[in-house]
Amino acid sequence: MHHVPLSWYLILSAILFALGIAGFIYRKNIITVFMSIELMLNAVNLSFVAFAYQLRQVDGQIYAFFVMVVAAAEAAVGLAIILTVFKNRKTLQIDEIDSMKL
Amino acid sequence: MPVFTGSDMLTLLPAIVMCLFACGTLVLDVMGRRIPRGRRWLMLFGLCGLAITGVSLWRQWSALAAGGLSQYTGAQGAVTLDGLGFFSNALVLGATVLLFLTSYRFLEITREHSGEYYSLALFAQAGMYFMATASELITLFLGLELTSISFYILVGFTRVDRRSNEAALKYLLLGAVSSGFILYGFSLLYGIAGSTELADISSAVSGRGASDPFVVVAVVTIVAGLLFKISAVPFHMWAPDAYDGAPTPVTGHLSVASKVASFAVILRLLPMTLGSVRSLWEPLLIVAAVASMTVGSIAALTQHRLKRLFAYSSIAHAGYILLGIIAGTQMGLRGVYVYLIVYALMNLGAFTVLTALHRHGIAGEDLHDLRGLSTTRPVHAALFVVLLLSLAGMPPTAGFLAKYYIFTALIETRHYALAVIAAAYVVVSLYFYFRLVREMYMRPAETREPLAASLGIRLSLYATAALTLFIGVFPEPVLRLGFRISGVGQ
Repeated sequence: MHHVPLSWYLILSAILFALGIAGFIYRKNIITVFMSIELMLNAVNLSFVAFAYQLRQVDGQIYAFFVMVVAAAEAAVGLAIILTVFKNRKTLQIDEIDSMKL
Repeated sequence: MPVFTGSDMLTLLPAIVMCLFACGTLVLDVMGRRIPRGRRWLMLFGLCGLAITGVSLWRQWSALAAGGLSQYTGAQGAVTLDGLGFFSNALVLGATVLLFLTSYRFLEITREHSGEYYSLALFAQAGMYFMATASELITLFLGLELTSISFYILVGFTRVDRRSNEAALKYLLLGAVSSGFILYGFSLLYGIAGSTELADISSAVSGRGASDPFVVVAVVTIVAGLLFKISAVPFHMWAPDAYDGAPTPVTGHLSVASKVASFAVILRLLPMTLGSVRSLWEPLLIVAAVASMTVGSIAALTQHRLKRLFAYSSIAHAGYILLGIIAGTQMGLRGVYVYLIVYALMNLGAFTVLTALHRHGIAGEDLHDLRGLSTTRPVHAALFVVLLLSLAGMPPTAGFLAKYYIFTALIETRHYALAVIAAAYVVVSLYFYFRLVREMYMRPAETREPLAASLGIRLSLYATAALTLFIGVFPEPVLRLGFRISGVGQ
């Protein structure tokens, strides 16, 4: 029976988290930026679940559920805000939403 | 073993009251759409909820005092009532009361008046209750997110206003990323300790020491996320835009309540839980504090949008408060508490004046909207000067007292360089606060349109300005309070 060691999960989680940050910084479309944030949260979930499996506990798995709930709430509010922005400006490019630059 | 005991009820009652009244506001809003002046009753209903919350907080405090306890744990260890929690909750409660009082006229003028506003403010307050009292990572995270999500909506509350949309979008994206950072750190802390309780984490981290890579990454990500929440440099980019675009009363609330609650989280996580690895986070806080004071004070010099100016000023204030945590002594923490009280008073007062500037057809968000205020509204102008003097840290106002304690703590702990830098930026900040005074007293008025000075606005302005002066002249009660809390919290 082969076990995947904990460190592999943690490395994968760190890579996913870093990809999320990179997407957040370099992507120009708001929806893609928002998806990058979800990727970061899922990276966190992976590490919670991996730790929970390693520690033979349920706490980490419960935490992952709460993170999902919060991510869903955040997505609902976030998409509503993105929708109002789109209605007012007819664009989803992040560079074009800069009416407050000095 | 009963699942829900009396002590759980005692610890959770304020949050339960807030959530019930938040839901009640939503229901009444739907039911009362046709009632004339229905929204006024809605606001009063919300204020009732706040009053009951206040009473239940008071009952907690007296139960604690009667038992001679320093803290009180409920909800199976998830919530801890202590000095820090009470302090933060009381301050946030006061800020929400002022938000309700100042918002009514503002929302009528912007034609965006609906019950969700009050409901969201109450939900945010419930979130901040858990931010201040959580002693376990899941509760802490849920509190943070309940607060943040409510604030995302409040910031974008004026839907037709493009600036408000944009502010909400920027706040949402950067806020969500900062939550991601905090959460990543939490996951590592959970892995280190095998538990989500802060007490277990504290002992596990001190066992591992500051050289463990997991501890290093966890501390760095958590500190980065928390600096986001208090809008400290280099994670301050969202603050000027979010503050500028948000409805003015919400800006005031965001700059006070959410900052106080975030500082409560910082105090609980860094000195109390991760105190054993102080060598890791102290340098990060020093860099952030110096950078915040620098960027905040310098960038505020050239702003002509009032809310942007106050955004940078509150960035600088965050730097000063961080200095108290860096000093870390009893004196430093006492300074932090005193500073937070004073900061809340003077900032809420200043934003009340800005809210009053918003009139029919006049946005009141630019520096020249202050012109001639000394002739059209001499009392408002004079009180605003008091608040500005306090923000700049001049005696005999409360702002001086707050800075005095921070500086004393820095000198006690031999952080001479930090004290000198901080003192230098006090001089810089004098200049940009003085610009507002100059506009009010030395330039003729541009409009005869009277200020939107409703009873609520006048009440909150008089209260904050009077307290700012009172604390400056008779500091004894506040100092005793700060001493008591910093003693209880440790």
